Amino acid sequence: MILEARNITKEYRVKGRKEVFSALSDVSLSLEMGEVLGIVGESGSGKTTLSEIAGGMRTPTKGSILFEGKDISEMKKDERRDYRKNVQFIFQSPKESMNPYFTVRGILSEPLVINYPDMDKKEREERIRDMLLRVGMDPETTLSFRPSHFSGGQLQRIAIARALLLSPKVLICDECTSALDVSLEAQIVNLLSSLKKETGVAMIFISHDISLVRYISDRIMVMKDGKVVEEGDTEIVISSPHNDYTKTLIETSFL
Amino acid sequence: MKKRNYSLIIGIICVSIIIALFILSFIYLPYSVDQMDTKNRFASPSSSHILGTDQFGRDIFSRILVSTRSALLVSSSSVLMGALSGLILGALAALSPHIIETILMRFIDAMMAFPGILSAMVLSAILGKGVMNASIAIAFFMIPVFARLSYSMILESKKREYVKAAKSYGASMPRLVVFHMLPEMVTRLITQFSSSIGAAILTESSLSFLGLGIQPPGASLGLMLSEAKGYVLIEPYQALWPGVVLSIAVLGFSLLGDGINEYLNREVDYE
Repeated sequence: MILEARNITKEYRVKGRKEVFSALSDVSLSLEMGEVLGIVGESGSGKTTLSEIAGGMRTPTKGSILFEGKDISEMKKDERRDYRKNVQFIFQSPKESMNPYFTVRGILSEPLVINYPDMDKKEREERIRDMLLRVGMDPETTLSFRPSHFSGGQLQRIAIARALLLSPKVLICDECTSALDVSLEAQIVNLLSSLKKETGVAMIFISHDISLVRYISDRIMVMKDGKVVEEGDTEIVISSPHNDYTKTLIETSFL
Repeated sequence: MKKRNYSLIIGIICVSIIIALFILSFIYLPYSVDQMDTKNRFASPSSSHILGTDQFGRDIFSRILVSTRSALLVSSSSVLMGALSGLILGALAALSPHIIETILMRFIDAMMAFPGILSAMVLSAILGKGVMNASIAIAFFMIPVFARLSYSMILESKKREYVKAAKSYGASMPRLVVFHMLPEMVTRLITQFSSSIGAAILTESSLSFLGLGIQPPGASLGLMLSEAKGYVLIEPYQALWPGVVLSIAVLGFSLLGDGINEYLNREVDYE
């Protein structure tokens, strides 16, 4: 088990009122080495909150996160750093996930500069070029431009390159194709699944689109109103769903 | 048709005039600021005294030249001090836990509640008269404006996805602020900085007018106005010139701020 979330509850206090709003109630998640876990659900179902908690970007109200069997709240500084490095995100909007004032070289160098301060410039450049080629971008026409120069699909490739540069063990893709049009969506998902085969990275793939999730995932988790309503192997869940909500999701998508 | 950015044009012209006077004061000063010529009191403009003389027969043009020094130096140093401490305070508030944030921001609100000139007067009264203390007093009243600005801007950029992304691969807090938040803030800071210099020049003159800033026999626009007010009916020119220069300076810096803002926003729209 590479990443595990145990009984996560996340509550928000509504300003000026006494009651609390719970975005997640008692949700658990587990991810094996090299596995792709798909999380499906409508917006507001808590999928993003869950992934951000699992990735250490937010702290849960209750529950614990275990990375390689170790609770992240009990980690020492360097262990925590290691966990951060090993769990990388790909965000929904590639345009907004990149600093518009940086060039692509700057964007891709930063994670390396932070996490490998001793790496020399030449090696960094080599790694960046290598990674760009792997995601299907030409380094010559990419490195010295700013994000505004690229289309959404190209930017998402760069974002994937940025996430994979740190050779993470877990990749969290939060609606990473929903800002792209349909043909690009397929390209990005194909790229992700081939990179997964190459590197063996485990993935949490979040989407509202169950057909997309089915295509890439080994296992599916269906969420609604901050709870997990159904979970299991992709084909089993899709062919014989138990929950009414899952059934609706499957019926309304073009499977 | 492109709309012309008149604020920027007029602002640049006015500020250039003031800066030209400032530079001129170092290379060409017809008379010393405190050189009196009692035979030539209230002289009209002539070839030897371009703008005439005051009640002690001092050359008004020379005094105005030297006044631009104090106006620019006091205002820019005070805005710099105020902006720096304001920015740090605002950033601290935006990045701290909720309790500290609340305490800091309420403190800044309280500072803002005082009229600027009043708090500057109180401070100069406490610290004593003089250029240095006037600068500190003006800096103090610049703090809340900049604190508020940096606070709101950092709160805004904290939500940006690229800041989140940088956090996710381990960027430290100082790194986030310097590389990922500051670039976005720079344009608005320049705008605020320029307008604040206008306000600071006005405050410096007000303090000098009230006798709390530059002390006689030094020269400051406010001090010159204050001295001229006794003779305004018989010798209006003496009040006119410092008034005109002060207006150009304040107008120039405020318009420059507006103009820069307009110019930069236009560029953002085009993207």
